[in-house]
Amino acid sequence: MASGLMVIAVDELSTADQQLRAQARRLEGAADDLVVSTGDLPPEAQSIVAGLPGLRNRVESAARQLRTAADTFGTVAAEAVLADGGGLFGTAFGGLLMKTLTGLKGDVIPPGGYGPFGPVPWIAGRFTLVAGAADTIFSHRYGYPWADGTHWRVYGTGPYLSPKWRGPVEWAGKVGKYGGLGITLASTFSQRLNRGESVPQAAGGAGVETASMWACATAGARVANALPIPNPFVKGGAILIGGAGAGAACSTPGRWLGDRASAIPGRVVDGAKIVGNDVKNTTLDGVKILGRDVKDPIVRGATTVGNDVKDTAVDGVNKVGSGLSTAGGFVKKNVLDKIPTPDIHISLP
Amino acid sequence: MPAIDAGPTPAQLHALVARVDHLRSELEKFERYARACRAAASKLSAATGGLSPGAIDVGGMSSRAPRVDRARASAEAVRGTVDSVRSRVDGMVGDLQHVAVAYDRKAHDARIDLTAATAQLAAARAGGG
Repeated sequence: MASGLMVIAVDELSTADQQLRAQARRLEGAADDLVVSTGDLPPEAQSIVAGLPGLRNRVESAARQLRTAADTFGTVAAEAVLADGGGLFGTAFGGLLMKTLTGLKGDVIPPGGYGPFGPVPWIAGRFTLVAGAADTIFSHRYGYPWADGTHWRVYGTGPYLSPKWRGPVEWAGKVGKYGGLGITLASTFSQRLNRGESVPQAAGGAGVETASMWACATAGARVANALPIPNPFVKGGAILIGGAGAGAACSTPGRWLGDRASAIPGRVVDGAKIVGNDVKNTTLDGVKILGRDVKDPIVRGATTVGNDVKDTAVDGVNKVGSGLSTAGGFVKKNVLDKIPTPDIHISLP
Repeated sequence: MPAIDAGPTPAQLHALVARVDHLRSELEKFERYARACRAAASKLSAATGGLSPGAIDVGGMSSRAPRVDRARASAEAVRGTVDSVRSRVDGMVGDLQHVAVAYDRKAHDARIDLTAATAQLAAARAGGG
């Protein structure tokens, strides 16, 4: 943590927030335009534009990076305003309020901007949250499910169910119980990818960040469980709130720990990336120069041969790279980015 | 006794017709390629309008805090990315225009050849008819 004088110019930060968002929108628009239909193009022109999907991904990533920076400027400005009005208490309360308000959007309020999967991933995330909370409260109140003769009672009360439903109901309970952890991990992983981290970086950071939050949530739930609250429903609620509160309180330190963890594979990956890019560029340049050297000295009749040699080689290399890049971009954009924001599910010890 | 000019044989006429058809098809292909290359170059050229790294300017900010500094560094890094992408797209536009010009030349040559072949075919038909 750096120390020393902090200077916060609220207007300046707010303006930068708006400007960066506007730039991010422009970049997104430009990325949308970086698409060319290759069907009508001659082969040599197709090889020229084969790198467009990769460039488009880079522009989209840059736009996300700008939005993240804009978010930071806006949050710092808002926290400074609240701190200025309330001193130390205001700083802490303001920060918590900001985090709460930010978390509400996406957790309770549908975030919008759905992709090809529509709101299904977001609804699945809410389902695991509700199922997890219900599991926590009801298992505290009624204990664990038991079978009695030909009937099985959900948590010892409520509707009677045939034993044939026991499997699906217990399976749904497990989904609720472990889905929250999985979604938290996947969502953190996705957010880190959005910030421009590589896959190993994002995986390491997301693992440490999620583990930190999970440990805090479990500790919070244990503390609440130890409280002498007579009413079982209230106690179940207290466990839920204690776990969620502790998990949320650990989100920032957890992110810090995750950032430290993600830096380790990042250095290795960056080095490998630089070497990989050098090899790729040298190969492509070599093939291109060779193609031109072959093409230029010969007359029009032989140009077709030179073009074919060059285009086939460059096209092949470009198509492999472009195919991998497009597949990765598709998975990231249509699967990982659509996973809803983190849920905190409270697991009773 | 002078030899009688019997005109082109049917095989020769057939060959001339085939050549005219081939040249016409080549001309259409070259023109289509040139048009497609120009359209793609024009589309990419328009896209570069949104890729202006100079518009991302956070260097003159007076705010100083670790989080602000990190965000500023991140935004400034985007400038380099955008600059690099723009440069690559500009290169693509130039290459596409070169290809379009090459196909224009091919189309021009094919047009000349087609004119000559068409005239040859007309003369042959007149001679045979």
